[in-house]
Amino acid sequence: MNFNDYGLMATFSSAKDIYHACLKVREAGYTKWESFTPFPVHGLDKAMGMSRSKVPRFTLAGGLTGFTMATLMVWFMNAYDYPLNVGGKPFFTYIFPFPVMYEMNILLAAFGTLFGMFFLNRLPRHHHPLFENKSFLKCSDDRLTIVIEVIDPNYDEEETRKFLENLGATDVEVVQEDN
Amino acid sequence: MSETASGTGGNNKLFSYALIIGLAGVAIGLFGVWNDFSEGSSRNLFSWIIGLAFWMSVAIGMLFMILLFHIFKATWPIVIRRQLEHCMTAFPVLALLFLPLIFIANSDEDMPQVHSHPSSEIRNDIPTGKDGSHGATADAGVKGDAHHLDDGHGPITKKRGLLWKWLALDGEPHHDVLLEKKEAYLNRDMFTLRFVIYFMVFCGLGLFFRHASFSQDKDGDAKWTHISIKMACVGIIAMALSTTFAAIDWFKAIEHHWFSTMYGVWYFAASMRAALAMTVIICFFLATRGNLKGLHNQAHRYDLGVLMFAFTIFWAYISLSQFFLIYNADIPEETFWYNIRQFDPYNPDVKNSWYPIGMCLIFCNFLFPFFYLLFYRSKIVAKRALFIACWILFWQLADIYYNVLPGIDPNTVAVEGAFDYTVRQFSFTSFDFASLVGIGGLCAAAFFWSRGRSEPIPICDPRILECINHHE
Repeated sequence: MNFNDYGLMATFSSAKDIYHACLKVREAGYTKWESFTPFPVHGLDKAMGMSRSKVPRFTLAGGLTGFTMATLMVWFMNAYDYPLNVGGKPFFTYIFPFPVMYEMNILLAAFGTLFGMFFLNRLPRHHHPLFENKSFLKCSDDRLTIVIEVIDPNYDEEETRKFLENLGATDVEVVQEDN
Repeated sequence: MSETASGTGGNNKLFSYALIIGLAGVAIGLFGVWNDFSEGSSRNLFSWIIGLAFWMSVAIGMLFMILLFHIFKATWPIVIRRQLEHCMTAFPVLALLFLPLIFIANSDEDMPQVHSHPSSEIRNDIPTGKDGSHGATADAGVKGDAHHLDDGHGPITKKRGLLWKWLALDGEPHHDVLLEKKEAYLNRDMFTLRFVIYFMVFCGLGLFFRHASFSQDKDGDAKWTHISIKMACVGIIAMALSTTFAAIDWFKAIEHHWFSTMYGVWYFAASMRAALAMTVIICFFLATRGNLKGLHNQAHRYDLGVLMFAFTIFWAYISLSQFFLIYNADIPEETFWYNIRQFDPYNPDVKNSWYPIGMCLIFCNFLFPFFYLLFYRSKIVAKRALFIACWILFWQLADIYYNVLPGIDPNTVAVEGAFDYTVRQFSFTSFDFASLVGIGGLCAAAFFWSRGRSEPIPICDPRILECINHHE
């Protein structure tokens, strides 16, 4: 078995501590890092400097695609390929087939949302190095954790460890990943 | 009352302004109603009912919002709910302002000189063929006769039918088959009785929630919250029924030959949009220069914006469904309602004045707010939310016009073989303006009057902190 360093994990004991720690980590210019808490901490996303989710763009793209596809489909079937006179109504209008366009719009918008979220979160993902770390499991109970990854350009094991300890971390340890 | 003390002066001033403007507008509007009633014409009566329909929709929507907030035990809108409770004082005012129409509905006066009405001359110009024509013209003459049996398409003989045409046939001999079938519901006594019931529900529920919330300010007892939740569960059923039937009685029955099961829901959807838009406007001003500064924040704006977005879609869904079903079924008893809103009945190629308004309802009342509200920043930036709220309120008024005004003119003399009606075309008169401003002014005065009588927020609500600390 071959082990590599994955990152440095710092544990905090209160929401207030981790909130201020996140502000400092962001100010220090780290980019490849993440925080883990057992409950939602309001404002933590802003403290971490995270922008709004990009999922809505996938939703919009999906919705527009669905609407256009349904419009083309109805036009092709009812007005081009096999025109059929139903009660003297026009072969193609937006009125009678509107439920088709509307439903396709919603369906593909929902697909866009779901798969866009999967794509942005890089899901499905079966494994994460943090799962093998025993003390990480505490962050589903009463510990709040910040992990700075090795691949971060500012990462330096000694300095980053010191930096995290100065932020008030109760415990800082190296997390390894299985190659 | 220490918190309100600083704002009391400004509030009293606003109350006086609203009261003066309201009384002036109402006086002009009612003068128009009285004038038209004595002359036997109807346009100013429509000004009045459009004003009522618009402000009723705002008040009804707000009452629905209070009910929904209680039913869902929502904590985020508690600060907002207090502003809605102030608005509930508008219901008794609206009931009072509705009374003139109820008096008209119960009047027994005859229409003056049915024969010489100008619209009958227009009718006689219409070519009806040469030999077969005498039947048609003679028929038209007979229908103009006040003492003959009426089939519901001719001119009215009683002034009470100026607004709701069927009222003129009520209690008179007539051949209006559709009205005969609907007479168990559409009759004068039931109409008046239902008016009383609707306003008992509106005023009763509205003032009850206001009272419960204000009482809690004084004694801090959590029982008021529990009572309100229970009351809301019962109240929402009463409100759903009252709103549906009120919309049918007051607005849909203007065209009593028509059928639609969506109409009550349409009015509900439109009401919710109007109420949400008005709430955003009220909260904007209270949060920027009133006493909600720091209490009504970004998260509240966001949630109100999301609700505006949701009800924009809901309104479109309901409005489209009504049109869609009638279009696809293609039954003349139903399609005429949309036909008169699109083209001239004598020449279907010529669009009438309602056609551009109908198009605006699709593009301006739905599509633009829909795309605008899709964006996150449109909901959280206060001025952007204010803009779309004003926009929605403006087109809500257009929607009311579109649904209420274009009835068939009751002074029309029918001509067999041709379309037997003229359609009231779109117009915005000074009496419309006076009614809207007047009724709105008195409702605003009621709002300011109530604001001077309570704390700006429900200070003793058990969950008020959750509202103030509300987070996205």
